[in-house]
Amino acid sequence: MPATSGIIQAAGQVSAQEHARLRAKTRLFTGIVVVSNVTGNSALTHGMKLLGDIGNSPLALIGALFHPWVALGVALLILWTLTHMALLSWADLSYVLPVTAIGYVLSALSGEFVLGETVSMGQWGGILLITAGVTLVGLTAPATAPHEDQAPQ
Amino acid sequence: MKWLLVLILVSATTLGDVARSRGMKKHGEVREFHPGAIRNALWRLAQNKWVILSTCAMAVSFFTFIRLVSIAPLSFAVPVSAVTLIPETILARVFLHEKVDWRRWAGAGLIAAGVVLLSR
Repeated sequence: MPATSGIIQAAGQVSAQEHARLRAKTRLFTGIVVVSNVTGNSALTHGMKLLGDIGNSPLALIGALFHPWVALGVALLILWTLTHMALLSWADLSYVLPVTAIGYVLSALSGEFVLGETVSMGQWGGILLITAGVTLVGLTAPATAPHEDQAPQ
Repeated sequence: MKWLLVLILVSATTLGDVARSRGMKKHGEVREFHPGAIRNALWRLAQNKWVILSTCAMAVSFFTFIRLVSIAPLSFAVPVSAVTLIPETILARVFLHEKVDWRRWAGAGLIAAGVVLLSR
């Protein structure tokens, strides 16, 4: 029996270590996903505003990709795509989507503290609601979906 | 025109995210990040039908978003794009078989409401 309890204890330690490893990895990748998305969207939007209304032509849309701000935005969004894909290789979509929404808060706070924009009382309410939602989802386990061999094809 | 773009944006983003999640679960956890491992992973992903579907949907979503922000204020484009939280959470439960407990539902609802307030 002591040998059995030792095996169970060791298995429990491995499971706890695996859980901690996945949590730390999820936090790191969530941070990269959020920062690359916020900075990428800001650069892209800035570039598109500088270009003005470009019409509906696909060629005009492709031509816009060569504007420096749009190109920087696209590069950051490629980084976002790759890290988002890596994150989704182990974490649930219903976890990743809400926790990365903290990017909306970062965008608003950067407007207030970096660009000197004023954040209204209603917007502070929005920041509070988003932060509460992200915290609530952040308390759940990042991965609950069945493994591939159990998932439907 | 604006609302047609919103419909395309929400549909394409939802399809893109759900297909990406399905494809990446099929691929398995990415554990190595040296250049050779990334190259191998990208080669395998280029043959993953869910990832291909996701990439096409995300391309539509991307071009629709930049078209939308060129004709509508960001304060409109951002909250409407956050609408995807709700259909994606439903599809994560139904199609991806994730355990979406009350904290995830409440979190998605709080965030969607928060984004609307924030964008006013």
